[in-house]
Amino acid sequence: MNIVYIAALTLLLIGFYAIIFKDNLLKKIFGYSLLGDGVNLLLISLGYKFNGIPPTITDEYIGDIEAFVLKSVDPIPPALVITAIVIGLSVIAALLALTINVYRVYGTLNVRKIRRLRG
Amino acid sequence: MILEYSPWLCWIIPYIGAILSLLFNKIHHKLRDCCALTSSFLSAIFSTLIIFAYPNVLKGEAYHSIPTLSIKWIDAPNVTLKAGLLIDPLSVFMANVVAWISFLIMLYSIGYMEGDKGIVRYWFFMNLFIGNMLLLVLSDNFIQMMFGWEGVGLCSYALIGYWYEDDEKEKHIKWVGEGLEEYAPSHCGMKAFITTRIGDIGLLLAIFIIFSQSGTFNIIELGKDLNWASKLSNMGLLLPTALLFLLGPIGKSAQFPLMEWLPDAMAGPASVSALIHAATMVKAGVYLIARVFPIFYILMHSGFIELKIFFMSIALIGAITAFISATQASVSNEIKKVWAYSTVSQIGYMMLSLGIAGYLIGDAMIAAYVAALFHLLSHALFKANLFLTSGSVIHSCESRFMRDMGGLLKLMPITSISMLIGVLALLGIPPLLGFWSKEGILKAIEYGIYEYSELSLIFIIAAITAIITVFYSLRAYILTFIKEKSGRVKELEHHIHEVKPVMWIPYIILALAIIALGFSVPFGLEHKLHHTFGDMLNHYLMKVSEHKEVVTTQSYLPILASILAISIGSIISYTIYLKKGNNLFESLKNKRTILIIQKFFSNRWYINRFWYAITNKLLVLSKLIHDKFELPIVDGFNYYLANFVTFISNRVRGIHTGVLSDYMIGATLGMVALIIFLIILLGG
Amino acid sequence: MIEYLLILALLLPLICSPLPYLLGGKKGGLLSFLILLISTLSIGYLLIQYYLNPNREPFIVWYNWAPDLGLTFGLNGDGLGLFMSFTIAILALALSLYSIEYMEHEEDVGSYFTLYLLYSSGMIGCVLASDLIEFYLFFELMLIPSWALINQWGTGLREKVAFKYFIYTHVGALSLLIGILATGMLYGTFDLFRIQILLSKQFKPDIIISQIAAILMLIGLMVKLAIFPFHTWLPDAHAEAPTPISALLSPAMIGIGGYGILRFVYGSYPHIITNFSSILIFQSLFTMIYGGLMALKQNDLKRLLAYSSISQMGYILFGIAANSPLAIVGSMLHYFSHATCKAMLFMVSGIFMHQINVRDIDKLGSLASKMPYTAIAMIIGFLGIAGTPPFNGFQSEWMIFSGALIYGSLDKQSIIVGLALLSTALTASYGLWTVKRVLFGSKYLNLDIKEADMLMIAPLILLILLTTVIGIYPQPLITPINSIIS
Repeated sequence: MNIVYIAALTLLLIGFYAIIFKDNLLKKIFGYSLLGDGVNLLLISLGYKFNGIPPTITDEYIGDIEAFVLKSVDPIPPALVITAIVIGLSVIAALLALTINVYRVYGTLNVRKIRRLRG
Repeated sequence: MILEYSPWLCWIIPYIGAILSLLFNKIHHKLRDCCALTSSFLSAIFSTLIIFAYPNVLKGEAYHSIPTLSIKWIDAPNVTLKAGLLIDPLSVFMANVVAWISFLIMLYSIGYMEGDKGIVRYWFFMNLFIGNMLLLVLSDNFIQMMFGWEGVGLCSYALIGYWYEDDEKEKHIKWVGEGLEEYAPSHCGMKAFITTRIGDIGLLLAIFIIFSQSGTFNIIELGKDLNWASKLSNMGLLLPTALLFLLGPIGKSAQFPLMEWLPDAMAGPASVSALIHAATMVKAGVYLIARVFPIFYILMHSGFIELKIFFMSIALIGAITAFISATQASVSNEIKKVWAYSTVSQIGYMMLSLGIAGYLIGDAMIAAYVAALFHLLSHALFKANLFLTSGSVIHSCESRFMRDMGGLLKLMPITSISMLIGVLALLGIPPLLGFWSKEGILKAIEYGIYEYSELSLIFIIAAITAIITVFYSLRAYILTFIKEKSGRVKELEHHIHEVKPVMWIPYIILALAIIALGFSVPFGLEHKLHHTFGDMLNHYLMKVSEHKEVVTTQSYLPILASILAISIGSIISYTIYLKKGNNLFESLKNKRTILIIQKFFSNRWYINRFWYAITNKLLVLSKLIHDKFELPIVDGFNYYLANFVTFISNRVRGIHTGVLSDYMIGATLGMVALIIFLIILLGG
Repeated sequence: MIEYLLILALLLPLICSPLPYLLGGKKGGLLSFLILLISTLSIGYLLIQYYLNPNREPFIVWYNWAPDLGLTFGLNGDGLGLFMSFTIAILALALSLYSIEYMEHEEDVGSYFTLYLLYSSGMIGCVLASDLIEFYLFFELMLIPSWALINQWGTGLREKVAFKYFIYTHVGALSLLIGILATGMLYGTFDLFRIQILLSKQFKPDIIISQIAAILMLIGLMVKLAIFPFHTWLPDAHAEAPTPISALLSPAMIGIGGYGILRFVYGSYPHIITNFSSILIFQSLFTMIYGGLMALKQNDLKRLLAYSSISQMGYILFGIAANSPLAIVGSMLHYFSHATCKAMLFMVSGIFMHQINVRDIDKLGSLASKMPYTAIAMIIGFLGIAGTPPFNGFQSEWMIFSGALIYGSLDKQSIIVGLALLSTALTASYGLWTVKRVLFGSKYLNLDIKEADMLMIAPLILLILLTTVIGIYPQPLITPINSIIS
């Protein structure tokens, strides 16, 4: 069990815990952010090769593509993760904007007190 | 050319007359009355012309299914119906009786119904009735006959309930019954229709069952090819079908146990009572049995012995009815009701004779058959006479109760003589017509006794009924005309006078007919009828036409019985009602047994109460089912369902707590479940 | 070319339906009357042509609607379809005239006539449909305008009643839909013609699914036909609907259930349906008697007529279930005779409501002298459904009962038919009793009550004429039906 996986899983669990069990909206948003971090970490670590080199072709490997591919770390996950981080950023921004409004309307951020969604 | 179509014209003209009288009403009322009268006159003429158009009828032949008599009507799967007419002695006989008596009654109506504001309706339905009745007797297939049969029921409904306003002020003329059994005209019409409907259920069912096995409704075809009967017999259904068939005539001709509508049908005008409930409609049942008699007779003699019970039932029901209604007539207080009960009783005699004819063979059978028809004729004549005269009397005294009459002999001479002749005919005094016809029936029973001694019971019942008949008819006459004037008569004495000629001419004609025909019997009238119908029956009963000379010992039993009946009855009647200074009446009046008997009779043997109890229970039942079953359970099911769904949805609603955390739990769990599912799916 | 009259008859009311809304009130009524007149005349013309043509060729209009889905759109103008649509058209025509007068005090009459036209075209489309999905489409098309009509112009607890009616019959229609879909899956097509061709080639689909599909379709159609125990929507709906709509709901629409059973269920599963005969016969017998008994108790005139309709629908199902051509012809003819008589009766009750504002029987009485035409119509109406000659009820009833006795073991059948005849006596009883209570007697002679206006009487007279004429000579209607049944 790679320690990075365990770390990512821990982050996920903490994130879920925060979303589910915390009553404060801001804490839920922290939890959401942690979820995102955990997933991103997981993704990157999936692409990592032990003792790998960064995925840029240097002079050393200019003629020898196969050796390069063997040794380099997978470049795709970081690309995806950068996209994911940006998207996560915008979502958190939106969430925070909504939270500000919720506070303006209800005067509290405790979800137990905001029960308008009761069906 | 027209002659050939006279049967059609005979029954269609009254229909046209009915509709025309509706139209002419707008023009002038005399034109309308004229039109109504003329159409019934024309149909009577045409009914006689039928004999000239088809002369072999007098020799007993039957005409049917020839191009002038039948046209294509309905073409449905499994059956092609032709609308057709059957011309044979029976139908011509009935048509003439119906048409001519109807004409006389229409003549009477001009005077009787004068000034009544609904008279357009009256003419319409009377003509419609005549048309329907003629259609009934002339039809050659059952479906067409049902048009006539139900049609006369419809007209009867409309005419009984003619004074539908149920005017309480005119109760003493226009209603019927007294005390608990006082009924309004509209109620009586409904009662008549529904009671005959119940009888019709049996009739229709029998007709349909026979159709299902034979594929035809045509009477002649049913008589020719008797395969259907063996099929029915194999299923054990022949006798039930025959008995169901019998229900129709029982209802229509007011026999036991469906007889209660006829006395209450007296709520209609007297002319209606005369036409429908004396001369014609109630005879329809007798006609129907006479019509199918050959068929069932052949069947019985071809080996289907179970039909003997059929004939036995006819005879028995006839006898029982005759007796029961005769007793009821003797305690009735209204004059028309006496004649109504009397009608039921006399039709019982006719049925009796037809039933016995089924037991006999050869000439004896023909004699019994003819006796029934002959009694039909004479009863039609004298009963119409009695009703019409009663109508005049009611009109004069302005009351239908006999206690309001009395002493009218001098005030209304023509009417009283007419009614006297009618009463004498009913009694069976020779040489009036009634004597010969009653004789015929008693003789027929006697023939039966030779072979089947159990019929002697029936003879005794018939004889006793004859005594009671004499009693009640004399009672009615005495109370109306001879007894001292009642209070009411004394009040109205100045106004009471003989009725207009247009009213007394019809019943005088009837009285004269009774006398004339009565005198012509020794000169061969009855023999002629016997021959004609004998030929007809032999024609139909091709296989069983044994002209067996029956043992005709000149027995004087029937004549003896008649004379005895007349004497006993008249003596009783005389002593009770007429003899001056007698204390018999007074002393009898308060005797307890007499009172009990009288109460029993005047409550109509509680048969009427019985039927009303049933209908009331039915209403209660329907209310019960409706309230306890329909509304709560069947309809309630909808609401149970709706409430159940609402209940479930309320419970499920609990998931929507409004708390974000709970929603997230749900989302997380869902995600986990999906992942596990995918793993299993992909892994496996 | 002549078959395009069918499309005219169907689509003209449909397309012109917004017009009354724009014209409003009386003009809208007259316009709808004219439109329906055109429809009736075109169908009538087709019917006459069909009758005269000895080959009995049907008029068929047929389009490939959505070939990928296997849907076709066809108007099947054969004897049965023409006959039924003619009945509906005549009824709609008469009632549109009646509505003009009846609705004069109501609001928003323009939309009433719009919905009325939609409703009529829905019914006509239903009976002319040749494709199962098309039938379902028109089936629902009948439902929605009638819901709206009851909701807006009904009486009493109209919204609740309309809602109940809608949900109940809609659930029934859903059952029908599932059955239809199953049928389509079994036969590979929804088109009735193609199904017939397949059947004639001895194509036998899977037995179990066929039975389930048939049962589902039957249930759906029985809800519409108001057979016990699916009848409970009917008393409320008929009693609280506006009278012209009751007069269309009761005779015309619910009979389409019977038509549907005959055409589609019998048409698609002829081999299966005979197994259900006995159950259907018992159910229809029970319905007949039950409806009659319930009618006896009622005090509200329209509810009595509603229960009476339930009873009469029992007759129709009885004839269909009896498995013999004569009985089936009889039951379709009974559709017609019940339609004319019941429409008359509802119109009569509407006249009472319009003129006197009273609907309860115990508050009515002695009306015969005041309202002669209405009284005649009422008596003829009740006598007609009781099966009295010379009205058309007798013709249909003798055919149904005779036909029922032809097949099956006679002793059991006789008892069944005997009970059925008993129900005719029951019909006569409640009919005549109602007539007596309402028309006769002299309770209210001194009140000032006038006969209804000509606009309301004319349709009555038309229907009286139809009832009597067809009663005496039903052949023009029998021949078209007959040609299909055989």
